[in-house]
Amino acid sequence: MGRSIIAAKQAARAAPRLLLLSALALVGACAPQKRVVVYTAAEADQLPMYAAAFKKAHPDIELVWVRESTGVLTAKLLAEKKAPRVDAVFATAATSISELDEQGVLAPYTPLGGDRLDQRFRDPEQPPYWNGEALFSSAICVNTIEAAKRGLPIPRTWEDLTKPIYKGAISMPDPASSGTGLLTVNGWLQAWGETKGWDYMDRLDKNIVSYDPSGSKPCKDAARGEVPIGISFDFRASRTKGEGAPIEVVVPPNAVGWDLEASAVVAGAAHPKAAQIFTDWAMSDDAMKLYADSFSMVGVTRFNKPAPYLPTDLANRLAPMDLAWTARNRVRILAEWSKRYEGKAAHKE
Amino acid sequence: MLSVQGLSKRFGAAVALDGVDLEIERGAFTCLIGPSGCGKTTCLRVLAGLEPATSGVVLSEGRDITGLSAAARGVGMVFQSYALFPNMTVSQNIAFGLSRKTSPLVRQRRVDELLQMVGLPGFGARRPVQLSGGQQQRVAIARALAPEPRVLLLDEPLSALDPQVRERLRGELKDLQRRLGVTTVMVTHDQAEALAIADHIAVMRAGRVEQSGAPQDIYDAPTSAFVAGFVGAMNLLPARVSAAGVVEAAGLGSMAAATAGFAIGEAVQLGIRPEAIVLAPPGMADGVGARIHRREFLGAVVRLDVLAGVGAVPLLVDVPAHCAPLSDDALRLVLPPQRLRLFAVD
Amino acid sequence: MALLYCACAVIALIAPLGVLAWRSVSGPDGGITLAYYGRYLSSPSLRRSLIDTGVLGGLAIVSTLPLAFLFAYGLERSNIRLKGALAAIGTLPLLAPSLLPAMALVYLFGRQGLLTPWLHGHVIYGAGGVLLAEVVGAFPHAVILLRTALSAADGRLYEQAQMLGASPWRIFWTVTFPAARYGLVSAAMVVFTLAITDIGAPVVIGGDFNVLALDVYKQVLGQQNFEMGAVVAMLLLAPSALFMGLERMAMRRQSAMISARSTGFVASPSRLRDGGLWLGCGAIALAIVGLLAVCQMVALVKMWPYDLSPSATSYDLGRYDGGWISILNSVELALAVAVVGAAVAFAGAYVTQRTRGTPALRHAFSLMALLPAAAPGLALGLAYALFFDDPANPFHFLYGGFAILVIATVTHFYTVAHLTSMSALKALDPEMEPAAAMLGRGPATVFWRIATPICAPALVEIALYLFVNAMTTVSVVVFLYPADFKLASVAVLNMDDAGDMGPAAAMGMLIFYVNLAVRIAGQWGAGVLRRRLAPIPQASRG
Repeated sequence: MGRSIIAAKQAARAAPRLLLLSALALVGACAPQKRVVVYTAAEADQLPMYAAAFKKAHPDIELVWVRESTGVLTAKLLAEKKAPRVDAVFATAATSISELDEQGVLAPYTPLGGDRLDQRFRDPEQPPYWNGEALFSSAICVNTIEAAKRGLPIPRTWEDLTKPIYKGAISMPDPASSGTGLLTVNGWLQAWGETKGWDYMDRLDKNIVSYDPSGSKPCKDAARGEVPIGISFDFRASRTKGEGAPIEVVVPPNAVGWDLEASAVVAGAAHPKAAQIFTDWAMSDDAMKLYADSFSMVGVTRFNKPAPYLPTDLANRLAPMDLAWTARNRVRILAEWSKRYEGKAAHKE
Repeated sequence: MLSVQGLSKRFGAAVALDGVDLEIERGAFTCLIGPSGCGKTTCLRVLAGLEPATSGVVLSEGRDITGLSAAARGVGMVFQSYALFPNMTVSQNIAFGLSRKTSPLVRQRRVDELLQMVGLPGFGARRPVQLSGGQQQRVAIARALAPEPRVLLLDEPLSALDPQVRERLRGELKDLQRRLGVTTVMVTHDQAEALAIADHIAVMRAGRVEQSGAPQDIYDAPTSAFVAGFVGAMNLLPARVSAAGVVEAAGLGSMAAATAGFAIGEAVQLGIRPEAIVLAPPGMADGVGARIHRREFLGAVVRLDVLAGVGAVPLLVDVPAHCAPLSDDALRLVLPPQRLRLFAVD
Repeated sequence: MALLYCACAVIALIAPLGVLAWRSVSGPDGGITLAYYGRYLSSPSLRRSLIDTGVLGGLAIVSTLPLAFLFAYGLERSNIRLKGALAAIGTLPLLAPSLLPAMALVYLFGRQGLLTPWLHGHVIYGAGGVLLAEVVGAFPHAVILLRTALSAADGRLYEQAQMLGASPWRIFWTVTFPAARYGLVSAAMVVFTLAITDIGAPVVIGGDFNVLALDVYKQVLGQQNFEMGAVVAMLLLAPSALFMGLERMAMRRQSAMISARSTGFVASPSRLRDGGLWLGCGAIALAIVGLLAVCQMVALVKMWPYDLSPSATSYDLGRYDGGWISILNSVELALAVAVVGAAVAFAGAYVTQRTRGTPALRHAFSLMALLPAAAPGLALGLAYALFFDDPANPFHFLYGGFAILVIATVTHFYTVAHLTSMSALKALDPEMEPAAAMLGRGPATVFWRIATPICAPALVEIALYLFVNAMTTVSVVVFLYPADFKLASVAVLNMDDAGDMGPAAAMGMLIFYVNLAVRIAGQWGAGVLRRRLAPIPQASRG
């Protein structure tokens, strides 16, 4: 059923393309026999690098990326549970993957060399339903030019952000639509406990100028000076600074929320063998080296290297977090969050 | 040739044709006339096969063609707007109905022949918009004739033209029809046009044929007040048959008339054409006294609008222009008994 | 044929909207419930967005109409120079996704905007920004409607008024204004509907200002809450249906006002009037060009606003969501929508107007063809997602494919395509079909050999309209595009979401240029076709 749908879709799509770019359509028709379709929430600017590496390792397999934001991707996979359209999931927040696991979307698979993974990067179940690639965590982007203009000191701790001086100077991702938003909120709630965590957010909310739809936007907005301070995540912060933006990357000394980027094989995949090969690759040394270029902590510890603009002791600053707890409480936390801040947000004008 | 029997056509509750009987002779030019809404165009469209009949039959050479499609009837039609295809050249228009099985060469020869026939040789490459109204009409005729139909139907073909062009073209139309000898049925609301052009006229009213015959017969011997009033001008006066051969016209008094077919005492309509009324020479005591209310100079004739008799009955009187009375003084009118016609009251 | 069309209309429009309505009232236990509406209306933030949406629509009318009227008046009722250029510039916003003007406003009046100092400490985010962006987006629509209303002036009335010694001011209020009033009403309705159903501007520049359309988007894509999305979509559908209904009534009145004996209007020379109008229209045109130029400029600098040296980094679209392929995908979709939509709408109009069988079905179809104008794109897109997602639906196989995008987009823009086809066909002699029938050729031959060639210029224009709209629409496709078939307009939205403003501007401008090129080519083509059919100029007869 699923295959015939995809075939029919391709046929339907080939027709106009034939009119348009008949040459391209011909090339498409003689595509490699083996293919693997992968859902991923990786940042768009990381994908070409991964694709090139996979192609080098497995030239006989055609890799088709389908990129979506974490929330949309999770929803699509849940909706397609009965007739999956993809084979594997890659670089997607482990919290979301755990939820998919609970809904029976994933198939268990132990990748080659899976035992090399650091404990934190492993699914507690055996055989594992998912395997961690790298760790990403909250980070704050501070625009130094704008901060100077407004006379704002560089904040150093989470608590600093609630000072009245930062009123109207901070944006952060909306946890309802952004994985980064969710892990940031969870870092606070799990490090400090729920009462203190919500109390902190109540105070922080007074300074927030907007809750953005993605984890990248607050940092990119900070880079452009649209907002002096943006709560974002480590990779985005160091990448943006690396591109020459006038920002300083701040990682608070504690309660830094984190999540894993992880891979998994989808149950009922059309190309199960290719999906396993892909997962093997995602856990390979080559892939780990690539992750290490972007992230300061990766699945196989020996590849860790200091990431530019990020503290070397990042591991010590992370909040103690239980990913399974996050997955279980996601809906409740989001409901509470929107009750507290969404209603208020609309009146803020 | 074509015979229509008991033809009826209803559009929902509205009755457009209510039992039409009609005989159309081979090679003749037949005109269907009548006021708007009388069903003449519907009748033509049913003949053409464009509208199915509700009941009744259409026979062609004795063969029932009522159920046949437009194309299968061997009938050509020229529409009021000519309905030329504006995106096609004159040649393409004419060739439109030719069988696609014939070779292009044969088709082209037929097109040239038709263009020659309608007097438009060399116009084949033009587009309809580049032609005058009269030329468009001739292309429309050529197109209708291309598949060699047995009958040509014309729906108000002259109504879209200026009055002067109309008169010239109706002559040309008649010539063409006579030359080709094609059986032709034309619908028009203009009775003068029909009288001028037709061999045979059918006057329609409210979905029925009221009277049919040669133009002269219809004009001279209308069988109803309606036909009398529709074809040419006719003075119609309320009257009563007072005795055999005598009618009493309201306001005018008694006069002699052929009363055959009417009962004594029956109310009738008395009709006389304006040109049939004679001005009595001065000094004669004959006829009815009258005075001129208004006069219209129409060129060859002068139409007098008079008030006649004790009842000041309005009458129209046509007199040759050179015989028109000079003054509006009282005059006397003679209504010749042989020109008086009696009609039943509607 | 009419039956086929009715069936398609039911599948592509009536049934999905029915499912949308049904989902908004069906409880988890399968019964009918108004609980979702209750929940929506009791949530203060959502209720607030309901009110804000209405206010936004009202303010959009009040701000757009005077500008559009001035512009249309200048083009139709004066002797100002460069009318052609002004008219062309006035329609440019139609060629860009609705996010683009909003982005330009951010570059001009955001916290780092070029002109932000003018705002004296205020920023454009929020209601004001959304309103401005909606005004820019709705402006061309209003101008088109008002130009039609003003061009239909009856010159005789003006001559009469002048003979009676009325002042120009009095003539304006007693002749011009009443004659344009239905045009104003219909423009107001269109502006309102556009303003309340757009998501592009609220996403980009809304800040904390929330509107219904954004609620639908967030409920569905952010929270996967389809029932709540359906509720909001229904709340959005009701006023737009009402307003589009009023618009159609106004249009009918408008066309009834032009009597057959109207004579054309020729503007009398007036320096003062023309000078003033030129300044006004010129300023508006300059603003439109300025907004586009700002977007283009931002797409070409290295790091806005700190490093303004020229750079093509924003055009390295492969690094961003959607990438270069999305513009190809969009062109592919737009081409399919243009070709399929123009063909289907034209054939449908032919069947409804010029065939004679099944009058009830033809009438039903001509009514249904007017409905899409009343359904906001988001509501239609969500209705499709709900309707075709159901595995029990025999048309489920369409879900997630290219075909459903084409069907949804064609359906969304069907009304204009249908009405344009209808009026093109109306110009065709009603006796074409009987004339062909007499020569043994059926309606199919008339359709192919006569109606299609004659209406070819109109067909090109319909295709153009569909192409341009398919390139720019976000709302109708955002819930429907397959994950591996990103569209450029959606990519602009996603890039903006990710904070990639430069690439978003680059992609938005790319859409604009594609549309501009296609429009120039299309209008040239339509012109050639029209000249080929036009009468050779000849001495007027009479």
